[in-house]
Amino acid sequence: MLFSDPTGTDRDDLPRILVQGMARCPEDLNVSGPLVHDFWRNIERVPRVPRMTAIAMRRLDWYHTRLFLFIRPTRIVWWGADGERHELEIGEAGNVA
Amino acid sequence: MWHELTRWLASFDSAVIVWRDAEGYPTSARCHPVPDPARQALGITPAPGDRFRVGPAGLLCHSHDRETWNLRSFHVSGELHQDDAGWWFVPTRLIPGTGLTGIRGNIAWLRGSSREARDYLRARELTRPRIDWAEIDAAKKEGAALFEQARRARE
Repeated sequence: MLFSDPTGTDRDDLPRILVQGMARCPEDLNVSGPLVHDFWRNIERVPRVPRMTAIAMRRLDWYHTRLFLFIRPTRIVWWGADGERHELEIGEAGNVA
Repeated sequence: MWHELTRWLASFDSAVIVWRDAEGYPTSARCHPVPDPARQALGITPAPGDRFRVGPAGLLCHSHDRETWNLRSFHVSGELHQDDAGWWFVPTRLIPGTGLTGIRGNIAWLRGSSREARDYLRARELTRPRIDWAEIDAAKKEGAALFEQARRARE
């Protein structure tokens, strides 16, 4: 995962951050529960969707059925304002090495 | 593909290149590709600390406004090469995303995604899950309230 576009933050001094790790994607169809709640809450932060669109969304059940990717970070790399590269290794148990 | 790729690329400020590092992990960096029509490749200059490697690579162009609307994106599969002149991304497959192919493209995306979801369920002998619309509506309402709160704080 690369964090490199500060659009919307009103900041131009943020470091570029790369997170590497092991990903898994269980074949569970997620249609409810805490993860689903958080997902829709986070992407629906901008109330520019008219009511009609919300009704039309009811037809898109496939769009609202989600597979989640889980990533266990193993390394974080970042570049500060000086452009210098920094690395942090993360152990098996999620500990920072 | 080349003509469409360079036309779309010109409408983005930058791109993200993805390649495999020495340990096999996907790694990525923001870059400013420069098309070379003679080579049919994009010249890419690594930033200090970017450790490009020859091999399979991907290029993503993606943008939106500060409220995450006006989404535009496309992806290109290809290979990273290096010669005396520098690093080159050689495209092999252009995959349109959103906001670049008009209403026809959007309809094609809706149809294609719906078909893929149906095939996914069929291949696993699964039935269509029942969506909890009340929960999704509550989550969206919560998100909208958070957004308004953040916007008021900015003003």
